[in-house]
Amino acid sequence: MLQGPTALIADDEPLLREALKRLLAQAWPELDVIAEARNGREAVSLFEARRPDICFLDVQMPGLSGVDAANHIGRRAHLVFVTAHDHYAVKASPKGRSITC
Amino acid sequence: MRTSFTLTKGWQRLAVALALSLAPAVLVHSGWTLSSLLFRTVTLGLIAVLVFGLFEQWPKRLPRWLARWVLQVVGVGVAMPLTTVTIYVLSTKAGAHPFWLDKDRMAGFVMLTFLGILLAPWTALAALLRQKEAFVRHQALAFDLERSELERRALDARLRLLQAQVAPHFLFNTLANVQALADAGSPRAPVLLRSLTAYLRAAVPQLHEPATTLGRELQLVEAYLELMHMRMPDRLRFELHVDASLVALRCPPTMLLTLVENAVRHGIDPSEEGGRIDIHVQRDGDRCVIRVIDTGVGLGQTGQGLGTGLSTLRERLQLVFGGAAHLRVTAQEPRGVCAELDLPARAEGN
Repeated sequence: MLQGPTALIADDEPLLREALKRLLAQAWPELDVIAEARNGREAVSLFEARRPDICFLDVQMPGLSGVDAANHIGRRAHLVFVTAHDHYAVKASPKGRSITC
Repeated sequence: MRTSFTLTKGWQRLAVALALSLAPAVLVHSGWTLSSLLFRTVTLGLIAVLVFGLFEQWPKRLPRWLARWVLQVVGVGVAMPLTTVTIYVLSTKAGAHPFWLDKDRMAGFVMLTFLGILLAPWTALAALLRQKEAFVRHQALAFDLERSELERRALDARLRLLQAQVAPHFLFNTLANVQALADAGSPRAPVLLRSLTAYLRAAVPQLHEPATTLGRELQLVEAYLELMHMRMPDRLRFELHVDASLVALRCPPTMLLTLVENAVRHGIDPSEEGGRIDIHVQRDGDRCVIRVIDTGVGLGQTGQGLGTGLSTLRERLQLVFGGAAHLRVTAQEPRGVCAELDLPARAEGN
């Protein structure tokens, strides 16, 4: 059986993680969300443990931010910045694609 | 009254003295050559100005029983005959009789002395009066300026308050979250929206009022914390400990909210593991002591200092309570911040 791509999502607000999971389930049913992180530090360690194909990172998170985590992960995964606030999208977009959700 | 002796004032005095010296010279010059009479009256006028100015500054301190204006007026009055005598003695030609033996010169001397004593002290009095008026006018203008400055600052504070109430930082974030949840078709969207509505219901009625009560402020804070708890359920815990006898206390709107929002934004939110916020409202004699204690990342961690919210709050407390309210922000052990508000508890009622 063909396996779909795997993903990690990182957001400090559980409501937004849930919203993102729902959106992804609708837009990309084959995508398998295998890890959820509550901050940048968790995102990095979960990435190292599970090696997902794609990381959805909230820009603003306590401790290590999404941008910091992205610098850590580098080119080992596709990075997508996620933010509910427009001004962060501008700040993060040179590092990768960003979607406002 | 001590005003600095400005250059314009000096010229003004000189002009008045000259004009007053010329007028009698022109009016009563029979028996004199005009030039010698002019010389004498102008000298008298100048001496009067000098004496007036001298006693305005000197001596620096006067005994209680002697008012400066009296000294100035009497000084000018005494200077007139003295100067006249001096002029007459000096202008007596060598070998001639002293002036008091010369009938004509004596008549001139008496006339000049009489005019000097008549005119100079009154002019000095009039000058003092005008100075006093100018000073009062100046004071009134300064008061006006100060009052309009205070009014402007009160208006400024009111506008900033409105802004803080209508558009606090978290409101837009929360709206963005509601939007995200709604876009994703999440069943949590209406729940969050309901919580947001509860907050606004507590906040909006206060928009039109310059003051609120501690009880209403606590409702607002509770609605805010419920909302934030919904957004970070695993990271934010809170508890309110309130002395119920204080809920009628009047206070400036968003006083408490500013402190609690600060604790969430700069203390709990930047912390990975979050923390708790405890709000204590206690009575201490005739004072009301409010403490907002958080166990967040503490002072100086966010690099934003205490935020503009606190300085605005200090300003508003000053406007409402004068110097009777105090706000202290201290670091907590092992971590976190305690913001303590100390208010008079007597302004209760209604």
